[in-house]
Amino acid sequence: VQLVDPSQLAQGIAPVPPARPLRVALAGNPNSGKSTLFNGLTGGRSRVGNYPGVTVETRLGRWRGLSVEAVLGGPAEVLDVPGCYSLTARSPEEVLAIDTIRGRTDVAPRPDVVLDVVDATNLERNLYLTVQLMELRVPVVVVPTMDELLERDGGRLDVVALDAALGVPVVRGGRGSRECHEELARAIERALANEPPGRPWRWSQAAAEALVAELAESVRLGGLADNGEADGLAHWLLAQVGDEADGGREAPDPEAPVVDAALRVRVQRTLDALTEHLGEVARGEHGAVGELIGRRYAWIAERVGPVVGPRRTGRRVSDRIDAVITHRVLGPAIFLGVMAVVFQLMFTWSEPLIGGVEVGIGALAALVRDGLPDGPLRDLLVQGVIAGVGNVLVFVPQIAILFALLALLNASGYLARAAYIMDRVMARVGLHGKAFVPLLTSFACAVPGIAATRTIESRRDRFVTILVAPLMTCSARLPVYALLIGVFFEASRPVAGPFTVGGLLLLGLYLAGLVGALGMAGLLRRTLFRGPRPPLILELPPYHRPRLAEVWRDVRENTWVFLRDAGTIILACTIVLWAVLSYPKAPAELEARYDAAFEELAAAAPAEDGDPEELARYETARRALVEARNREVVEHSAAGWVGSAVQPAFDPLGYDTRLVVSLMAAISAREVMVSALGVSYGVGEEVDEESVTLREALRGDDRMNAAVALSLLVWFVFAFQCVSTLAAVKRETKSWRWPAFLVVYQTSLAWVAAFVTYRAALWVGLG
Amino acid sequence: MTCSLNDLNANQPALVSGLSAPAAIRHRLMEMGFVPGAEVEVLSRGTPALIRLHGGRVTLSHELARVVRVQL
Repeated sequence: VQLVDPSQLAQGIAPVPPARPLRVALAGNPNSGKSTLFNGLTGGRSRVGNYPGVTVETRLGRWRGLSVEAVLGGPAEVLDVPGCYSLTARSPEEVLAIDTIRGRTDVAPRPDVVLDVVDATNLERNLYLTVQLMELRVPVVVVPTMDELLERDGGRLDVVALDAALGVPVVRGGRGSRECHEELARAIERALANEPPGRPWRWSQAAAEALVAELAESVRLGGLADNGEADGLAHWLLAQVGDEADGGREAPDPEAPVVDAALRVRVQRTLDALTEHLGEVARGEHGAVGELIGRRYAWIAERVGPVVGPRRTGRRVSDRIDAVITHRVLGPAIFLGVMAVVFQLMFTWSEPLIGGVEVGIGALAALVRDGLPDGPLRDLLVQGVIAGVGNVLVFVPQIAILFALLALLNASGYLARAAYIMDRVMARVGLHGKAFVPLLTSFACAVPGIAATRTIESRRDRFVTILVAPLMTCSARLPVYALLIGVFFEASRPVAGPFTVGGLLLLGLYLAGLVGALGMAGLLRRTLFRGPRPPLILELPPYHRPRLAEVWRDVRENTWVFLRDAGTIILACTIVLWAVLSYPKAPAELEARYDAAFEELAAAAPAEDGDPEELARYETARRALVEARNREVVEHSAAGWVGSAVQPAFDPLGYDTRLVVSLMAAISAREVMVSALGVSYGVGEEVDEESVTLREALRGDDRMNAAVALSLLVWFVFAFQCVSTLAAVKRETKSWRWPAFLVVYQTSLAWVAAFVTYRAALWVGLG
Repeated sequence: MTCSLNDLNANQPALVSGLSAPAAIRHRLMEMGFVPGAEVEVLSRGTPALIRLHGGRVTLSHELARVVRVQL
């Protein structure tokens, strides 16, 4: 199915030609159940529409179900509009919302009809967006959801009365179940047959109406809107410009203003005239825009008030839960408990799965090894491709589990409470609660974490969050931590109670990342992004039972994106690293020299049942010889030359050439470090963090010790080592300046921290 | 009697009478439903405060709650 026909682009809002599918946009407040309906309609199958020049992604899907085609006479596609409370654009997501509804994005033309999802438990506020949609004269179908929550608290929604009161079709969402598809399709049919709605309310003074009509006329003459849309666009412009003009708020993106300068001046003139005409109320504190917002709400109260009935002041089920969950003392304690459980589950549940993945990769490597003749191709496949991809696959269980748990917490309504509870902590570093969710997501991977910053309105807050998210301990650091802790520390030695050296070290590394991120946020907020902490209004949606199908979809989508992005980069880097470490080959003279040395050693080998001490001595000598040969082979390779040239910069941190080569490879992605160490230590096949050979090789290296390991661990906490993150930061900040800044600050921070750690470790005698 | 949202006791319903804030903040709060005549109730005081507004629950930081004038 061709979702977007390029020939339609130029036509704007021409009548629906039968050849293309009907375009249905899905709009609504955040937490209104919009994505539930989207998944219900599309069967959970969608593709991400990535608009050029726009940072935010929307989802497109085909409306599944035969009844729909029967009713509407053809296929329909569903377009997800980012959740927003109002069409006034304050964040990148809201800019995309208005652009999608008006069909201004480069890819998607104006939708034929908008399904406006409204939360039945909070109709008045949700219908504010409906009024704005009506003003823009798009055919609207209002879809109330969560009426079961309303009923849980003893309320009831009268759909027929609401339909009559609003004057646009209203049909129950029913959580997007199949039965309601046909009803929805019929409502769409009705909306399309009706005259498109228009602004349902009037200004209190005729003079004000005339002023706005003048603005609408110049908007129309300027070619910005057609006849029908001009009035709606004029009103949207009033609110948008009135909001930005104040100077109290920065535009979502200063480099791409939502309203251009000339139009802004024209709109401001109308705003000034309106304020003049509206008299005392508007001149006092309301302003013309305040009056505009007030008129919309007044219309809602007048029309919908009788339908909703007398306001219920009683406690809802959610309020009773919140009395505990958001309690000043209990709240943070519960939050810490929830986080502890999340991390514990992430580790314990993933273990058997990781084991399974490792066995599978090992089997595949063995199969290729046995099936192919000895040579560069086999080496490339086994040491490069399979080891590289395998190193990515082993994280998938952990990442998927973390995504699943976060999705569960989000769908149940808890994540909003977590942001509320964390707001007090985040305030200390100049951020607010909303920035907490992206940071939490970054425990899995910074790439989705950075994408999650799009909901943050203030540009300063968004950029600070983007720049510190890579310091959170992502799952890609885990294999490196596991390897180094396992080799150089007595990981399972008990310290106190259930805690072991390994566990405490790991906890310390996680905390170091968190403290680093918060500290850096505080620093950035006081220097480069200095400014007042913008006000935060956070909505706490009612608690409800998460739908497993949606959690599963979240996990599938996020995990796939991780696999696709990380997989390709890691595969490419492992292959390149393998090549630059293997070529040019060491001279034949070197090989011959070591071959002779090995033969000499073998000749002096004790019998296998001989003196154990003698055997051990022989084994040590053999390993030292292997170690010496590998070192020389690496020094002859292309990577070895570069590594030797760079190594002096890392000498104060205690890293030798092979570590430096591995670190350089791990700039592409942290998890590359393990296979990079494997390749540069020449331990060959089947390298992973459990690999005995790599562990032994590391232990056998006389230049490696606990002090170097600690220094390396600290380097991994802070250093920039992820090309995917770089791409994500570039995408979200639309500039190479901030990715460059990220690389510089993270590298400097890591170098200083690792240096201090190394010196301190040597001083206490860990060398 | 007019006071700010911060002065309200918990579980004491009141009506919004106005907002004393610069335009951007005022518009934002109004669009979220803090329009004159709207019924509000503080469910949990402190910062951020938890507030019932229409059928929803929103949290406002101390400095934001201060700008919302209410009438008992």
